[in-house]
Amino acid sequence: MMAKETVTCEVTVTNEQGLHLRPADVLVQLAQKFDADIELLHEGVCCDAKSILEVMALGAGPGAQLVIQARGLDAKKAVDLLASAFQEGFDQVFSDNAGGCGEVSKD
Amino acid sequence: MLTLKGISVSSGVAIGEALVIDYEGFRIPRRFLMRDAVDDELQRLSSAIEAVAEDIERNRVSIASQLGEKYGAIFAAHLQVLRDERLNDEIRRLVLERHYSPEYAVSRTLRRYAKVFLELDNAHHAERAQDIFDIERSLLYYLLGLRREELSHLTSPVVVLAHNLRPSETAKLNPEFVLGFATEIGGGLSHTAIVAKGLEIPAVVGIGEFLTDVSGGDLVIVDGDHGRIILQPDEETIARYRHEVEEHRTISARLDELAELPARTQDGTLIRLAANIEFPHEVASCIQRGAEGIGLYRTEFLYLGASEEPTEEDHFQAYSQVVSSLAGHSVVIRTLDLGADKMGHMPLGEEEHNPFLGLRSIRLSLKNVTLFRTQLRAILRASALGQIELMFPLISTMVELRQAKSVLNDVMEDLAEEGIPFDADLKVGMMVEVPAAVMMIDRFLREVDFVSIGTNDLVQYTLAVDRDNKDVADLYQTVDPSVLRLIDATIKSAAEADVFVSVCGEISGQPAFAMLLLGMGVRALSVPPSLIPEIKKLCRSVSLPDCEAIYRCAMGMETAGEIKTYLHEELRKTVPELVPF
Repeated sequence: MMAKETVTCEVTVTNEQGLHLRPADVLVQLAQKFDADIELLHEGVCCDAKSILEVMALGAGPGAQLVIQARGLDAKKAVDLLASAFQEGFDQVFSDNAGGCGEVSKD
Repeated sequence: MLTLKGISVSSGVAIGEALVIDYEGFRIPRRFLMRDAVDDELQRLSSAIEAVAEDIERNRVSIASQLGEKYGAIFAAHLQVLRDERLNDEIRRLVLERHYSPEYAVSRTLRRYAKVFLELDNAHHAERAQDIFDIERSLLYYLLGLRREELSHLTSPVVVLAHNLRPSETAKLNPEFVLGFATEIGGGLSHTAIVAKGLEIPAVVGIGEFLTDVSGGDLVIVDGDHGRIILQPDEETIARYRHEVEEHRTISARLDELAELPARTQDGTLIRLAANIEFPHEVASCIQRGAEGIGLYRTEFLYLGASEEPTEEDHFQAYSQVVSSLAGHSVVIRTLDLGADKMGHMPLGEEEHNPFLGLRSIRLSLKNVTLFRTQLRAILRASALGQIELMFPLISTMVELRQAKSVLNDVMEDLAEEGIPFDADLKVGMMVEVPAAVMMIDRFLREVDFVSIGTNDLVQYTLAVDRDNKDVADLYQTVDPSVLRLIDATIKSAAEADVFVSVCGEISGQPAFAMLLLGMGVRALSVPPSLIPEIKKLCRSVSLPDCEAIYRCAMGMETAGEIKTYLHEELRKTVPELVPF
C-alpha cells in the first residue's frame, strides 16, 4: 500500500575522511539488505546506494550534505538505518556491525 | 578526441591500435571478439571474477587475523567493488553487445571509474583510483593468464603506449609490428627515444599521465613531427593523418630513387652528406640510401640500459660491426656523451641540480679515465680494420681537449707496446657545441683535424634553455640569430684555418635550415638516416649563389620567428615538395 511512496531524509557526512572506500562499503552493505530502491543525492548527482563504485564516485567529503531517497516496501526502515549510519560515522557502525545488521536482516 | 603534447624524439606519423603496457608490463589485447566466441568469453570473465574474489577473500582473512578486522575491511571493500552489480552489468554488456574482449571491457570500465576518482577534488577519494587499478590488474592477471608474457609474440601492428619502457621490455618487442611509441615520462635521451630513432619509428615521450585515458585496442595517432598524440581521434582527423602518411610514403618512394645519385648542387658543388647513427645495424641501410659514410656514431647505447659497464670487447664488437658495413666509407665515432645520471652502473656523486651543467660527456670521461681508456682502446683497435675518425664531445676549454688527447696518446703507446695494430694517423676532432668553444675556435682549430658543430647542445647552452622542460621548451629555437652567428663564426674560422667542418644536429636535417647552412659555406652535413633522401633532394635542387643570398638576408634578421618564416618561404619557392606538412 505504501510501496509507491518515496521516503527521503537529509544527512551529513560526519566521519573524517568522507565516503571513501570503507565507509562506502559499510553503507552499500547496509543498503543491500533492503528490497527498496535506494538512491543518494549529492550536489545534483544521483546514485544507486547499492553500488560502491557509484557511491564513491559522488566524492562526498566530510561535512557534505546528502539526501537519502528510497522507494519500496521497506523504504522507511532502510532510510532510518542508513541515516543513523551517517550520524554515527561509519567506523562506529562497522565495529557494531554484527548486532546492527543482524537485526535488519530478519525483515 | 584528446590531443596531448609531448617531446618529439623521432619523426613521422603512426596510426594504429594501442598496445598499453602498464607498470607491470601487462599487455591489454585487442578489442573485438568473434560473434560465436561471446558465450565462452563471458564464462571466462565469470571465472576470472570468481578467482579474484577468492584471492581477495584469502587476503582479507590473512590480514584480518594478523592486523585485525579493521585492516581486513579494506579487502572487504575491494570485494564489494568486484561484486558491484552496476560494474558487472556494464562489463558484461560491453562483451555481449559490443563484442569487446573481456580484458578490454574490464580495463575500459574500471579505468573510467578510476578516472572519475582521479578528477575528484577530495585527495582521499582520488587515491582510491589506485584501488581500482589494483582490481583491474588482478582481473587482467587471470584473464590474460600466460598470454601476459607474450610481448614478443605480437602478430599485428600496434602503437606501444607505456609509462616508460624498460630496456628489457623494449628488447622483447618485435620491431616489425611496432608502428610507434608514446610514453608518459622520458626526454630526448631516454631509452625509448634512442630505440625509436634507431628503428625509425615515430615516437613522442614526456607526455605526462595519459594511460588512464586509453585502453588497449583503442585507435591512437602518434604524430612525431609535431610531438603530440591523439587519443580517440575523430573521423576527420584520422582521414587527414592517413592522407599525410600516404603522401609521405609517395614522396619517400620518389626520393629513394636518388640513392645512387650524388648530392651535387645545381651549380656543380658536391656536398658531403653523411648519416648520424645510434646502432651498428643502421650502417648498411644508411649506405643503401646513399649516405657518404657515418658523420656521427653516438656510442651511448652501449652504456644505456647495461647493468654493468661495457667491456672493451663489447665496444670493439660494435665498432668492428660498423666498420665492416661501411663499404669503403668512413665513420666518425664520438666518445661517451652521457651524464652520470643516465648510467645505471655508475655510483653518483652528490645529487646534480643541473645535470646539463654537471658531470657529463667528456667531463665524465676525464674523471673516469679507466672507463675512457676502455672505449679509446676499442676504437683504436677497430681503426686497424677500416677508416675511423675519433671525436670528443662537449669540449669547452683547451685544457679539456689537451687532456683528452693525452689520454689518447697514452692508450696509443700502450697498444704499440703490446703490438696491437691501430691507425697511428687516426684523425681526431671535437664537437663544437658550447659557446665557449666558439669563442676560442681559432685556437682549437690548431689542435684538431676536424670539427663538427652539434647544434642541439649549442642551442641549449646559448639560449640557456632545457628543451626537455616543457615549461620553457618553446624558447628553444634552432635558428635563433645568436645561434646562427656562432655557427657562422665557426664555419668562417674553419675555412680560414683550412680545417674540415661538418654540421650534425637537428639543424642539418631540416631542409629549410640546411639551405641556410649551405649559404653559410657548409659543405658537409650529417643527418638522421631517414632524412638522407630529403636532404639529398635539397642539395640537388639548390644553387649555392641562391643559398648565399638567402644566408645574407637571414643574417640581417633579429628574431628566430622571422628567420624561420623566411626560410620556409624560400624553401617553398625552391623545392615545394620538401616543405613539411
